[in-house]
Amino acid sequence: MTDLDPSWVLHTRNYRETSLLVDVFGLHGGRYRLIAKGARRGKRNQRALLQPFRGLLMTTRGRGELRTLAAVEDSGASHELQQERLACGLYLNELLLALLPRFEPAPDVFALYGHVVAGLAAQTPPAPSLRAFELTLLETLGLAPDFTVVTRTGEAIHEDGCYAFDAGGIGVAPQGVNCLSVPGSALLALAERDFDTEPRAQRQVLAALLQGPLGSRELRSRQLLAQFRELASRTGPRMAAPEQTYNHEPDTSEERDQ
Amino acid sequence: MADTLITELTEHLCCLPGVGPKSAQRMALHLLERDRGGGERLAATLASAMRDIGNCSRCRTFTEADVCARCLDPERDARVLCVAETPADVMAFERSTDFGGHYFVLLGNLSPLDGIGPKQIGLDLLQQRLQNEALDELILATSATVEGDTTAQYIAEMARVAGVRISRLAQGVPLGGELEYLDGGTLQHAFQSRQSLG
Ligand SMILES: [Zn+2]
Repeated sequence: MTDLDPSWVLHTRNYRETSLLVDVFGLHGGRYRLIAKGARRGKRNQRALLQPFRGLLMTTRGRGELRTLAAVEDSGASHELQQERLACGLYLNELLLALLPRFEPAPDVFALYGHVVAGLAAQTPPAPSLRAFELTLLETLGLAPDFTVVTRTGEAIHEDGCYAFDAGGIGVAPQGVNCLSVPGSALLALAERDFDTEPRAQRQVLAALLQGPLGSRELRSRQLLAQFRELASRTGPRMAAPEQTYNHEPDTSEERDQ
Repeated sequence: MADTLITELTEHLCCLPGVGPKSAQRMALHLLERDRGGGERLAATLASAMRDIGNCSRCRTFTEADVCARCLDPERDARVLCVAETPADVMAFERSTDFGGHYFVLLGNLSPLDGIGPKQIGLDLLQQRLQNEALDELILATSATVEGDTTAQYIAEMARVAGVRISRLAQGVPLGGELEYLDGGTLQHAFQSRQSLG
C-alpha cells in the first residue's frame, strides 16, 4: 500500500523497548496488524497519534502478515470518550478484532464506525448506534438472517407474532431452553433498521447472532461496561449529570445499551 | 553433551530488555573471562531477588518486606495518594518532583482488549484503602493513552463513590505520552498543573 489509507487504530501493544504493535482498521486495508518502529520514543511522537478513536491517514510497507508503518498523519477526527462511552468504544474495537477477517476491506462497517464513535463522543444515546453497528457487522460477515421471514419455511413474520430465535435462525414458536422468544415487531424493525422498537429484544437478537462466531469467547469490554455502570449506580445523584443519563431504553441498568 | 551451559547462559541473558544474542554472548564471555566473582554475586542476588521480592501489601510496588519502606515512612503525607502505573514511574516522580505523599502502583492499566480488568491492577486493594483511610486527595498519574484514560476514569468513579477529591496529571504530559520517557522538567510541570476531576 503506498497511498494514504483512512484508518483507525483498534488496539496497541508495546513491542520491545520502543516499538508498538498496532491493530488497524483501514478503509482499503481492512483489519490488519502493523509494527510502528520506535513509535514510543523519539521526536516523531507517533505514540500520540497511534491511539484508538483518532481518525488517521496511514501508509504501510511490506506484504506479509505483519506490515510496517511507513507514515501516519492526523485526519482531524479525534474523539474523546468518557466513562461508559469509552467502554462502548472499546466494545466496537473488540468486536472488530474478534470478528473481522484480516486484510478484507469492509467499507460499510468502516463508514459506520466513524459515525458511531463520533456519536459516543457527542453524548447522543449510544444504544441505537451500537445496534446499527452490530447489524452492519453481521451483514458484512454474511451472518444476518432475513428478519422478515421464518428462516426454514419462508413464512412472513407478523408484527403481533412471537418467534423463537437461536443460532439456526428464526423459528415459528418458542421452543427449547436456548431459544429467545422474540416479538415479531422487533424483527421487522431490525429489517427496517429501526432500532427504537423493542430495543431490548433487538439487543438480545443481535447479541445471540454475534455470539455464534465468538463461540465461548466473552467480550471483556462488556464486562468493563457493566463494572462502570455498577460504580456509577453507587455514586447516585453525583453521576446524574445530563450527559450521563440514558433514558433511552426503559430497562434495568445492566440491560441497557449493550 | 559438551558446552551446553554456555549456550544456555547466552540464551537466558536474552530475556533482558534490549539484549540480543550478540550482546548476550559478550556478557557471558565477559563474566567467564574477567569477572567470575561478579558473576557469582549476580547469580546469588538474582536468585534471592526472584525468590524473595513480592509486592507491598499496601501499595503493590516491589519489595521483599510485607510493607515497603516508602509506605512506612512517617515523613510522608498519608492524606495524599498518587496512583502510578509502574515502579519506574514512581522512581521518576521521586527523582523529578517534590511530591511527598504515598503511592499506589497499578503495575499496568485497565485494558479489556488485553484481558486486564480491575482486579488484575489491584483495584480491589485500592478500594479498601479508599474506604479505610482518611484521604484528602487522590492523584491519578496514568499515561495519556486510551488505556491510561480508561484506568483514570474508572478510579475517578471509585474515588467519587468514596467521596475523595480526585486530580489527574494534566498539562505537560503529551497525548500518547508514556511517563517513563518524559524529562524531569516536564514531569515537574505535570505535577504542578494537575487538575481536579470532580
Ligand atoms: Zn508500599
